[in-house]
Amino acid sequence: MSITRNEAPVIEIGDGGSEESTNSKLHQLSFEALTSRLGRPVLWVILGVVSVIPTASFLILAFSPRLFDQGPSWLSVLAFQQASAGTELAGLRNSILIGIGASLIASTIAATLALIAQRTDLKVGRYIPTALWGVLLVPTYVVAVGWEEILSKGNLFSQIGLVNAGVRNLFLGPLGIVLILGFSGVPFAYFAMSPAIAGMGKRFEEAARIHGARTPKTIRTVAPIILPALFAALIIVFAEALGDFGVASTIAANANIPVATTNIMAAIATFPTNFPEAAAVSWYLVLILGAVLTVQNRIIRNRSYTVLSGRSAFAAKSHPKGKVAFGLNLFVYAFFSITLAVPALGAVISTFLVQYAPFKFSNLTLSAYTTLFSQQSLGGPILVSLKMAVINATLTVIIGVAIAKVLTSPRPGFTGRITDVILVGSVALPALVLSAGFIFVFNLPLTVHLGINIFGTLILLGIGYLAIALPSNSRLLIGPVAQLDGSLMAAGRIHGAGQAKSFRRCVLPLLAKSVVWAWLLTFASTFGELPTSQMLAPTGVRTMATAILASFQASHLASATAFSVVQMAIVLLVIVAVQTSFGLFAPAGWKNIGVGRR
Amino acid sequence: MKSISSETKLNIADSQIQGTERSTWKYGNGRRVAKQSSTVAADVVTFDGVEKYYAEQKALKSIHLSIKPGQFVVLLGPSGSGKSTMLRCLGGLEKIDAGEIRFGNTVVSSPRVHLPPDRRNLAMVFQDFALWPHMTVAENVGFALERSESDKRVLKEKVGALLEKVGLSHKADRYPNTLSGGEQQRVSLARALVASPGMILFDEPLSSLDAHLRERLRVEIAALTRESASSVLYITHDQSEAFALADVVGILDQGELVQFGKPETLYNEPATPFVAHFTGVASQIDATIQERLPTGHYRVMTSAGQLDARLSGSTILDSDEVTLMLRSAPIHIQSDAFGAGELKGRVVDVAYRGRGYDHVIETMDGNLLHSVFSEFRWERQSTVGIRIPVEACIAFPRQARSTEP
Repeated sequence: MSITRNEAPVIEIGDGGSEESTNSKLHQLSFEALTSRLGRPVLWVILGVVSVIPTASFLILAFSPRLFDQGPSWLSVLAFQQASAGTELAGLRNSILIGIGASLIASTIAATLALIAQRTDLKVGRYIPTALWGVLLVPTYVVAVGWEEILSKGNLFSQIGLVNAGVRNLFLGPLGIVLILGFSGVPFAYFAMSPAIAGMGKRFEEAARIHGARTPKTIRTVAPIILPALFAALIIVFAEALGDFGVASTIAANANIPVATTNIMAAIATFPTNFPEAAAVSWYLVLILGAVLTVQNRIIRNRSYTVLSGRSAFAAKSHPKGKVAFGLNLFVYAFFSITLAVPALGAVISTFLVQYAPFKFSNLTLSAYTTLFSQQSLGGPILVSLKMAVINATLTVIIGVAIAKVLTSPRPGFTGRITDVILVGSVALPALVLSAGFIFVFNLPLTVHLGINIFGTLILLGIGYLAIALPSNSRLLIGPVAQLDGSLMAAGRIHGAGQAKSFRRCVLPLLAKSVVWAWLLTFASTFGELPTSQMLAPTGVRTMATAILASFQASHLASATAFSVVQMAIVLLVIVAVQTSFGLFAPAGWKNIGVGRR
Repeated sequence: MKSISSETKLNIADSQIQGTERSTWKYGNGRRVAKQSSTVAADVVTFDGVEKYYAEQKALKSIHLSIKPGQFVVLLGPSGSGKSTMLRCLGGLEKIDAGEIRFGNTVVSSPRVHLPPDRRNLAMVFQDFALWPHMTVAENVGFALERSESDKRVLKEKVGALLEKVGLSHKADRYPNTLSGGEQQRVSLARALVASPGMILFDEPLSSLDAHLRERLRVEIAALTRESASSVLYITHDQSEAFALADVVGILDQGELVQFGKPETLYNEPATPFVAHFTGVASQIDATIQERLPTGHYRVMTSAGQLDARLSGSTILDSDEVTLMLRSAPIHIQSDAFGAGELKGRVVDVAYRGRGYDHVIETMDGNLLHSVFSEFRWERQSTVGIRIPVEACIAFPRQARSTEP
């Protein structure tokens, strides 16, 4: 029997009531129906403007410079030839090698940290996630500036003999770049792997043990279960390292090591500009990531790696003792000392000490800060970044929740799947490529002719920030949104609340903690965002990141470090203020979420 | 054979079944009251040819069903039979693809009309409780009252009274995660009852609880919902739960409502082998009709011996080849078989049940009879006689065994 379906549009009765009124409302669209119909198209327009159009146009430019008045040919591979030779080729090679190195380092460290936090009862394990948030909030260029400061000649560390020329050359060269990017990538790798390691459940291990496997065989048997998580960790760090601009424009630039991102920047920012070449380099970056993702898909396709089911019992924790406990504790302390304590302390001490003077009480000074604060330009970058970060974090979280809701809907439909593809693509796309796309698209005569005249304004910078933050943020929110049981919303609807009220009263409070963290993460990353700021900030406007980089490039190392310290202090202050306010003012029930059952 | 056409309207045939009188049911916008007819016989809810598809899969096939005021209706079926879909369509959580659902005379769901769930004046108890974890017990219950009660003092009083009723007034300020499973489900029940809705929906509310809690809550649900006089649509896959609670039971099979009636009718006169199976059979045995007896019953021959069988309801036989559905309750175990209506068998298993023993008996032709009760213990491997009276033996036209739920 063929199934015929009535495709006529469904009319929601918005204000039902008496029979008469119900029938009279049949041909009216309610607000609810309107929002459910308009919601997805609006999201599409936003994603189109902030992501698809700029990126696509920019990438097309590599093939067809003439299409955008950037050269004589309608179809040319010249840009690709330029991008495959000399410095550009070396840059690509270096970027790939750095990415591989960083992802291996990050995934190894992250897996060890996750095992310590999830599978042992060591006290230090409890603090690992919080400390990793700290690592996540420090931009790579701040770490790089910190390392430069620590390793520079004549400072505290070289005075006490910790740093010599050999160490300096080693760490301010390729090894340093790989290490900094690897360490910075640890939080991403950790958050990708930790749930899988935690949720692997003791049942798999017990099944192996009970059927005769000893410890090594048990590990070999169970480890492949976290393969997808391991791939996710490797890829996310690889992508982050490939698109990094912070270390590239500091340590790599000083050590004359070309990488892909600085090459893109050079092609766009130096006269004569060569947009097609920058686009071709971007193509290579996108293709490299595409190839990596394809390999990942091929390997894990057709295998089930489901570890989190309602039946999963969380793994029993081991009780390391003696040397093992000492070794694991040492590992954790060493990692966080290198990533957090040393750069932070080094930076603070260096900015409080007279330059090149021995470490004595009389040599302590606030001159780096007084110089910084006496500069009239200081307030500008702080205010601009503060304003942009607050606006961007707020917009990103609102749109991010909406996107996460579409993506976790039980029937995402075609638009849902397309949105997912765009977001995955955008996460993998370096911020620099997106920003280059913005410069290019909003500078086109056609765009100006259409009356969209936002090039060189804070609005474009804001859209740029949104484009960078939205993909990763909405993916971050997918987890908590997906965890929401659909029946909570249904219960609200059945018991008399409309869609908006049900979402506000029954669902949003459950997301409050995640939303606050997502807001803070976006705030922190926007506040210190470098590549987009560097490319899209209006002439004469400096953000925190561009101001720090300018100081660094002008060899005002103490000033740049002091600026970094101020930046970190502001971010920490905002985090503390927001979390304290949440703790004080949020209703008790909101804070109750995630607390275990009796 | 009695053919159960999917287009056949399965109304509540039993004239004895009458709901409690309810004069009005407010639905639509709570501020405007739609007056229902005050006659007892008026249907509160009508499913009229309702169909629902998921992709091209038919989840509901032309469902016709009426629920009377105050009636406790249970939908019984295996997983995937469409009972949850029916409940969600009634609740407005799913849209329908054909037919219509009416509250009184007002269409609330059709392919072109969809009254949102919050306008239907319903309440629901969910399988997983669906208590909002950020609200206290009192806030969870009070939420359902907000649509009809704006006076906070009155709201608090009503919530307090209902929590008292379900024995949780001392936990009003606690959060759901601090309560046990049974307590959480009682909060969920209180939330459903507090606003005296026109109808309460129950989505397998006892399935996530352990056995002793299940029985206690079942009694509470039965008592409190009847006290509220709301109509109830309750879904479950547990036959004993359905029979214990329902005024009327509907049996669903692959999206089709195959029988709708009083529990006793379903048990004694199952319309199809599927219904017989789902309401409990000891075994299914193929047989051939030998003669029609003066009593109207049939003498049939199985490969294990001769039995007397009856037809269910208006079942029509189109050949002598039949399948017997044996109900376990009337079957009696004795020391040997002596003639028609009695078979020889061997005890395969015996289980102590407190008031007696349940046996599994293998007949001489290899068929297994489950749950055959006796006050006495018949040891494993012992040879016994089984007396199968005619009321235990229901004949259906011969068919494949795939009808087992």
